[in-house]
Amino acid sequence: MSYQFAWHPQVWTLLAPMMVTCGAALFILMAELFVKNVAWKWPALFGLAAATALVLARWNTPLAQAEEALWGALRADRFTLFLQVAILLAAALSILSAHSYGALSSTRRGEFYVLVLLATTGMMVLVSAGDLITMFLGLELLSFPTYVLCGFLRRQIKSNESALKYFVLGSFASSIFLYGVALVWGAAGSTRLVDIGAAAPTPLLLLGTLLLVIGFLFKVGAAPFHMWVPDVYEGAPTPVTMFMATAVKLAAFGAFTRALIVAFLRDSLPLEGILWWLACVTMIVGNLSALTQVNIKRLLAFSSVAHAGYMLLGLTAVAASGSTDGAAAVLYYLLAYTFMNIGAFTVVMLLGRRAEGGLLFERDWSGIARKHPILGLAMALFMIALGGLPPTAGFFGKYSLFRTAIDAGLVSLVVIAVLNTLVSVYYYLRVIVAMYMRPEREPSVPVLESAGRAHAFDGPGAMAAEEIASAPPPRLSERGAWAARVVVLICVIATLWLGMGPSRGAVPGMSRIMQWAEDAVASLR
Amino acid sequence: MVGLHEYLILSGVLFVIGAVGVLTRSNGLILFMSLELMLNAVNLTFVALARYTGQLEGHVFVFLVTAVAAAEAAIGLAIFVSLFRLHRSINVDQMNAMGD
Repeated sequence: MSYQFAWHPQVWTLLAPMMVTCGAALFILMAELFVKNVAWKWPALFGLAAATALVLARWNTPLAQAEEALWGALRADRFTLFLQVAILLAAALSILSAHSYGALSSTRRGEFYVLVLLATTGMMVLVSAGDLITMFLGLELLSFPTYVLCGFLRRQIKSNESALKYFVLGSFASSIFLYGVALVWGAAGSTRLVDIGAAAPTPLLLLGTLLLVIGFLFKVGAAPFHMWVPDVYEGAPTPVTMFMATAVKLAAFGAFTRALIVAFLRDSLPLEGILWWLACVTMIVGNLSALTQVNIKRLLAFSSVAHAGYMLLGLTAVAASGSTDGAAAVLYYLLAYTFMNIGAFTVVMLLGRRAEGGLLFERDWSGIARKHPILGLAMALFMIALGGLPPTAGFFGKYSLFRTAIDAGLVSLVVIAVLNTLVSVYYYLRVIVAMYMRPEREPSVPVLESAGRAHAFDGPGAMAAEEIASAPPPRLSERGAWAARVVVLICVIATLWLGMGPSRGAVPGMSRIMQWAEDAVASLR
Repeated sequence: MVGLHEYLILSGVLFVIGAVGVLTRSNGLILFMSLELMLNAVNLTFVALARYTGQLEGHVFVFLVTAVAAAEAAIGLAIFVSLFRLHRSINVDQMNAMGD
């Protein structure tokens, strides 16, 4: 094989979106040294918008010309474009939310936007990777900034512990993934997904594939590899939690779907059976654990585990039938899930602070909908959507997932999924009941979560004890709350709009999104 | 003569030792060393396979992995330092601020 070092223009257009997000991150990092008191969200949002424009500029590339650049390391098919747009959108909404989150939007914190942009770059690499080593690099580029983002509130014990737990388990998963890459490369003689799909199935290859699957499952937070999810989601600053719950999941599920369809599906590996059990266990564990949660962020964390289970159901359908309809349903569900979840977490961020620092919804959220009727209504909508009730995005997303699963003959698994959905409605409704039907309570005394447990560090340059102890929980700055309100509005509109399409074509643009998802999946083959 | 199998078995054993270390040890630094051991076990696999199959790619992958491991070390140690300031300990068994 002769490698001609020819840089076609198309290579640049493929790389351009990632270079723009990466460049915006480096720009903010450098500029921050010289300019103070700048609202760094604007350069960050501008970078994301420019990257989105560059991705969309390629949108009409005919599917037959799905291009490969850098010898298959990156692929710019419709699958890549669909997921990149979704990821950029999730990142932009998270940044807008973060603006309203007092502790992060203090003007000197340009690093926050730098880290979000770098993680976004990693996600875009991950979903476009056609090669396992590129996938690994994308995965790490995604993970490292996210570890730091989790620990962004340096003076809060919870935030730090969240970073530590995510770091240890995330690195553990990356190592397992990398070991899988090594074994698969040894067996197939190539790290390109296309070559791996065509390689002879040796025991080494199958073992490597299993390790890769485990690595992906860790990243998407599927049971039994979900132990880190509740703690990490609870401790991380809320805008970071929503970023992790949506953008990271989009990227990890996207890469998993691509690897599954292009490389992993072979008769010699009982992937269908494995995925069947994983989907089943993930749904049940996620939903049953969520039932007993009183902290709203932990509840949403377990709900995100359960949603990973529903999406695994779609991938099981792909493995069972060989048809890619299930993957299209997964893409649609990911998009719907992104809006529902970002909306829900943004309301949690807004309402949680107004309820005197309370995240325990039964205690602190009682009657809160009367005080904040619009936010309460929005939260109710997001809960209904996450529970999968019409007329919301969650309903249509689940409907298309379950339909493709039934088409693939997975009737018993769909029955389990429907029962799980019923269970999940219970705990989503609990939030609504607390907000609307409980009497309003006297605001409880704000609890300084970190105060009781903080110790001083006596070394030079360390913070004084009282400084740590008195570090208040991040307050929502009223002046910046407009950004979070915009995010809620966007998510409400998207959730309703994506949910109005069971009868296709009834709503303008509706059938087109499903069509895009189908095109995206079709471009993988 | 030491063949490919011995190297693969050795790297597999090292990887499992690292994984068991991550799951059972409670000192943050030992945990961290276990993580590095896992990555280096993978490096050994890469090098052994590259040598055996005569493909240069494997050696390049090792450099990539080493660079990634260095970045990981920087971030991991920074997180430990930040935690030590609050906790005065990096014993992960004491990390139980979460959960209600």
